[in-house]
Amino acid sequence: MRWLVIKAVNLLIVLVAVTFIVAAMTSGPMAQIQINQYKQALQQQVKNQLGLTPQERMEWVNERLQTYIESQGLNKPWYILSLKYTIDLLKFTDLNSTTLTSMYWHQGSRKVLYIIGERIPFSILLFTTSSILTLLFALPLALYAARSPGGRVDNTVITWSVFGVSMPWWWLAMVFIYLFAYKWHIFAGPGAQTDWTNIVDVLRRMALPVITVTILSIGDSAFRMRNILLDTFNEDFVTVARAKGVPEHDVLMKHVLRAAAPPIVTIVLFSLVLSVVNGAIITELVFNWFGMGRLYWDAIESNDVPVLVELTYITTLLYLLTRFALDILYTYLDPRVKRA
Amino acid sequence: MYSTDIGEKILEANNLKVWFPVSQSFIDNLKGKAKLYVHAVDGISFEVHERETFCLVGESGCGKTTTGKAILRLVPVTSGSVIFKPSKSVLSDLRENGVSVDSDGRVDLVSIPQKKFKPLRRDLQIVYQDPYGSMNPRYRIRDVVGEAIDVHKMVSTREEKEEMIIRVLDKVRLTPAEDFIDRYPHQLSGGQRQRVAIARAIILNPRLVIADEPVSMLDVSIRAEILELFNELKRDIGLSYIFITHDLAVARYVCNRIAVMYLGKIVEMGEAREIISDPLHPYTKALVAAIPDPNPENRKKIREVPIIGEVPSAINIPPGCRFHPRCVYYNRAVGGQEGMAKLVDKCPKEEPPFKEVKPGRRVACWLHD
Amino acid sequence: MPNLKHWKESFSTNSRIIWMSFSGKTGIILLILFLVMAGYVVAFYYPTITTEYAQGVTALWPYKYPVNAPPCWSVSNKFNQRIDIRYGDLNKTGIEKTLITVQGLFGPIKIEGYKTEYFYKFKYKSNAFPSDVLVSTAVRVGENVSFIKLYYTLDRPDGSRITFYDSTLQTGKITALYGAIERKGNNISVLPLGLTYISQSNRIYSFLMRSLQKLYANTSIIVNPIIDNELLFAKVVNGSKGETLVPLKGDYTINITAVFLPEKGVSPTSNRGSVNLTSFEWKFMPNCYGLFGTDNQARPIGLGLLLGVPFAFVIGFTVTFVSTFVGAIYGTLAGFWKDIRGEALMRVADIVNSLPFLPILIVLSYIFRQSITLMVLAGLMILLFWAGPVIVIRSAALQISEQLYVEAARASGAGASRIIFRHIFPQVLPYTIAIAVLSIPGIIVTEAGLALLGFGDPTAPTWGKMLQNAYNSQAILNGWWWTYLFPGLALVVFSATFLLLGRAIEPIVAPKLQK
Repeated sequence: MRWLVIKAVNLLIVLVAVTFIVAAMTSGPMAQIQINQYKQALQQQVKNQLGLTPQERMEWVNERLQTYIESQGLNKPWYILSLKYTIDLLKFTDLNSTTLTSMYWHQGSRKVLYIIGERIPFSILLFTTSSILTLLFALPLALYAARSPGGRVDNTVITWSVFGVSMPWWWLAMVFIYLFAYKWHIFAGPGAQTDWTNIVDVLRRMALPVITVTILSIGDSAFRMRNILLDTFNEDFVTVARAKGVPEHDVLMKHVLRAAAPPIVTIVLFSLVLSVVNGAIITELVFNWFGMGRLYWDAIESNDVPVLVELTYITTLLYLLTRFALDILYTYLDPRVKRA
Repeated sequence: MYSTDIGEKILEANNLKVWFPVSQSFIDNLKGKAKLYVHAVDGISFEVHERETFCLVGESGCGKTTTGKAILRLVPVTSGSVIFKPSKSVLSDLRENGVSVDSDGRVDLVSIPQKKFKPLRRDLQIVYQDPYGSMNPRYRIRDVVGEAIDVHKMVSTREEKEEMIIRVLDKVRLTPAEDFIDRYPHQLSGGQRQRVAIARAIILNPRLVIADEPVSMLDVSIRAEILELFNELKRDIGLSYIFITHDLAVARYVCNRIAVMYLGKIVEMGEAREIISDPLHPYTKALVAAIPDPNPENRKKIREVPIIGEVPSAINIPPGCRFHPRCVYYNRAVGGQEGMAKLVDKCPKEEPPFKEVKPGRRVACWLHD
Repeated sequence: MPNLKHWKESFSTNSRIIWMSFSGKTGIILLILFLVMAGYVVAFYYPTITTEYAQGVTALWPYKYPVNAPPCWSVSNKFNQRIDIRYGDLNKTGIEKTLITVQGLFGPIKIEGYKTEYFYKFKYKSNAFPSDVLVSTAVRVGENVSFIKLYYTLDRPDGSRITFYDSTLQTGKITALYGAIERKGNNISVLPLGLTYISQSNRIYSFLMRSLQKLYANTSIIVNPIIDNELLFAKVVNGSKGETLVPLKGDYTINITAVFLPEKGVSPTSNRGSVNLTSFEWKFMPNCYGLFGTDNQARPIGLGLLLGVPFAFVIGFTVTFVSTFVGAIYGTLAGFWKDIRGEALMRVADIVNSLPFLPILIVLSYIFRQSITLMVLAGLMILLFWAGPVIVIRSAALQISEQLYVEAARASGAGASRIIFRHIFPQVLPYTIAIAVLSIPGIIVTEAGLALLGFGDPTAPTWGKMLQNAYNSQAILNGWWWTYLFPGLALVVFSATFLLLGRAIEPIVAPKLQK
């Protein structure tokens, strides 16, 4: 239980630390945006105040703005502001997005959490599909490779992993879009109109991103799995099983795979989380896929600081929670790692 | 064997204790479970004189190595004192550092803070059991032996340092020294490495060298040479040794006095010759009985070693006399042997006192009460 | 410790071992190649050319290279050489007398005036069209010229004529008929501009449109607002695919004729009373360029690949070496201190390690976007990446600090700093090198990703910035595959070099890292 408590405390510390760093970095623009939003609202209201001279109107607005700034503490030094925003984020206090919203809806403002909630399912759809496919292809490859280390399959896996790691995913995405969408017209490109209720349409649209991500992650996943399997192959109980005359197939299925399953599952799931957090951002941008990664780009393009800040917070939260869950899962799967 | 002129007392350990806490789980701590300790050294007292080889003998795990490291402050001491008489230059350095020195020019090694201990390392040195692990594999012999010179800033020029190193290598018979000075430890044999280890220990002219089983990992063929070197150095430069060994055969060869340790306590102490020829404590008797007999005639006989069972853990030390579960006398007494009835009561309950049974001979056993 | 000999020995044996493996050999060869390239760039191109390349100074590149030209090996029908026609190549007739028809008050009247003529004849031989024709033409009309008319034409071998200009001009100034006007103090120069991107507001646009529309009147060829320069040299052929354009080979003549009338008493040969061509240049740009082509700002991709090498080294090496060095010292301390201090160090490293790197890097870059340089980027990455090697280094340091020789050093009186820096750290160093080499690819790829999002050093022509330029110019949609294929490949080869090297070093320095 002790490690669980430590991990949970760790998670909280990291979350608060990241939130504070992000809040501290953005507290200035955030406060300015908040003030501007309130000022605009006041200027709308003042139009209903009939019988006021322009001078009086300005005073009317400024007076209320001043009270608002003081009541919200927006004139405080940056560290107090940062603390305020940190607490806001941790409490999921909803922020308003104006610039990004006007990019899509021309005017008005929407709740940031609502925007993020809209995008999350798209990211999960894309990266869950490709992770499952990766696992399906990588595991047999890894098994073959681990059976004869140094063989042709093994070398293929190693080379593949070298390229998978040393290549920006979004670059291969660009090449694939050119070849498969624009040149050979096999799959839909990033500009295609998609009817999200039509499964065929969605599949056509998903195919290229899923293929790209899968191809890139198979190499690295297979390489990691191969290493785990090789270690397991060299363990004494496998040698004993072979010495006892257990058929090779059973050695593989009953002894090796069972022992190697926990780390393999963890690796696959963890690489999924990593890919969502790190790989997705630019890959989604290139594929014009309206997930969380693409939202980063939208927020940057439209200078929408509230969206950027809240998005970073949510990403960090999701990432840390998944890591935490994986830790628990791993201990659950692997009886050897019962930590007292 | 070499009963040379033994001089004044230079080191005196009083009731020295080294306990290591056993790491316990968080939950156990919460439950308020009593903290457990490994009683590695459990209150021992002895003294070492100038030009004397004082031996600590015992099975592995009895705390003899820990005693040696405790004197050097390489492990934290729990309680007790170690009164040491440093050489003049060390003493003046210590006084400069503000260490309290008594009127005889002696200091308590245990009470000196770790930061002020450094000058004392010139007087107290150690030779390890393992000649392979005790040298940085990336250091040349020059660096291994010369490290202490750099640390204590003994010389100012390279030439002087080189000269010192060559002189000490000559002393330990690594000749020609110029051949060895630039080699790496892995290029030397075990015996040569141990000579380097000795050279490293004696380069700053220490008063006391702790030799921690210095020959037990060496081939039998070169043990005698190394032991001879120890004796020679004692004669030539007036060193004292605390010689730690599990092998009474080795002890017989080098020791002036022997202290037999069992589970963190000294059970018997006295002149080496006397202890080996006439062991008093049942444990010493068992150790002496285990010395291989040089007479080939007796080899085929199965000798009886008068001891029972295995060493208990140093966490749960048996109450009373810590040796009683393994003691043949106690077992005989329990078995109803005549004239030993008092042992049945006393051994498991009361710890025997460490009594002087004759001049220079002390034993902790109810048999000799 | 001055263990030079030992290091030398282990270096020579180790490098032999690295050289023996396939990946080691490939890695070393590629590394040397990249180093040579980096040295070459630093020696000859830094900093002027690199900055100009990164910023894409508009007038500089299209003047020298074609725009969006594919690599020549991918083009079957090549116009592969640039042809320049300069002012000096023009033939000039002297000032001759001529009759000018002027619209008078009561109908046209003829007056005696002067004319001056410039012409150039050339033969069009290629089977392909140039990708663009760069033109600059400017005329100076003297202050005391009372009448001027300028004819600027291209005569084609089939007898037809394309008119560039056929109108009057303002007196007393230099007029650029086409080209970018550049003023440097009192000096006015006219730089060539491509005809492909001629705008409607330009002087020659309407003349050119009208004569081209007339020329292709009876065909299906659409002469559209943006004038395709190939129409100048084309003829229509009826083939299986319908009407297509092929080059019309033969003799062409560029002709510029000025007819003018100086004021009374002003000599037609004097500056004030005559008309002079002050600037003239035609360049036929090739339709392909080199092995790698050019981008939408006419920058050669191949040059960009070369210029990117030292910057990849700088960012990769700075980040990895600083962060692994910091991480190594930190991990050594964490392994050496077995008390609360070590524990605290590990907690901090754990926290940094569990950060989601890219999102935080993006936010940080966004905040510093105004002042982003390569070193700022490197600093940000170091802030996030230093904790990466800590765990491995700590366990190695822990292992080493429990060695007997460390205790022996302590028994000799060695203090903590001597033990750390003389005994533990040198032993940990090899692990550090392997980790550093293996983390270079990640850094390069991250930099490229940030560049794509617009967080790149404006003065550094990195491969990431080339990819960003390609992405922003919609190169995928436009089919300019060479603009993103090659920079990406360069990235892959560069990172693969270090992965290969790292894999070859691993078994030597840290057998346990392989897991």
